[in-house]
Amino acid sequence: MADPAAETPLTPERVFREFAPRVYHLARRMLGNDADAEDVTQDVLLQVVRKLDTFRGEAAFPTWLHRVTVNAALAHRRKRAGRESHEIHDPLGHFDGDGLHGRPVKRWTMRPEQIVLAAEQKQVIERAIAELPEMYRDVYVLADTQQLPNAEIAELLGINLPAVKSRLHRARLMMRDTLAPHFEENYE
Amino acid sequence: MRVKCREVVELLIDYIEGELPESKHITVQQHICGCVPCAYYLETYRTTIAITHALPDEPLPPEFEARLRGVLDSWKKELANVG
Repeated sequence: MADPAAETPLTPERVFREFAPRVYHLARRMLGNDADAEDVTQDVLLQVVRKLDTFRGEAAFPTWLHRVTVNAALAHRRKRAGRESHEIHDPLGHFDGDGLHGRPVKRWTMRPEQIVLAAEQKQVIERAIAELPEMYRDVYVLADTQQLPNAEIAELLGINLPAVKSRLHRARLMMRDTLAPHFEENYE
Repeated sequence: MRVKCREVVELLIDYIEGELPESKHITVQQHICGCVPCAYYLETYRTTIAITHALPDEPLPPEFEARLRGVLDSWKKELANVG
């Protein structure tokens, strides 16, 4: 059966109502701050609603919106080049010379199949994403918040598939390390 | 063939996506079954992905939403005047 929402025409009002939060949060997570995300969201929404009557094939609309948003966020970042100040830590740096874990690995209070996030935990995760170096953050945001396929991420960012996977894996390891102290079980 | 913890961690992305060759997958699986730190590491790697998936796209901040609404309304008026 056809999805009734898919049959509703794409109007500026509908784009604003349904897609503005998605654009805003994608831009915010890529750029790491609210003010830049607001600029990008406004640019993207105006760009999109101006071209709505030329757009054909609504099924492809989210893909198009991702492309416009990612391009706008990357362009915005280029304009403010030089502001990146994140240090890159090596997430594999804590293994000893024999390839063993060099520090204890603890369980977390949450399991992958039982996720309920409190407001402060959401903030911790958002902060950890913002602290990722940009080249890893972009891939992580597109893969693990937007849940885009790796091939689409490669196309959006203009990098090859092995680079997407390598950056994604490193980003996940960095995120795991940053989040661990906040989520580890307390054995005391 | 035995693998070390570091190599297991390096292979986790392919392991969880089922993209390792079968023999390598089994080797990693056997290591994880016998190594508590790696079992916890795998679980917390999966949790990292799951909690990020679970982040909601909250509504726009109200002040920004109002400003954006104003910009959209101005654009609509401009368009109506031109039309």
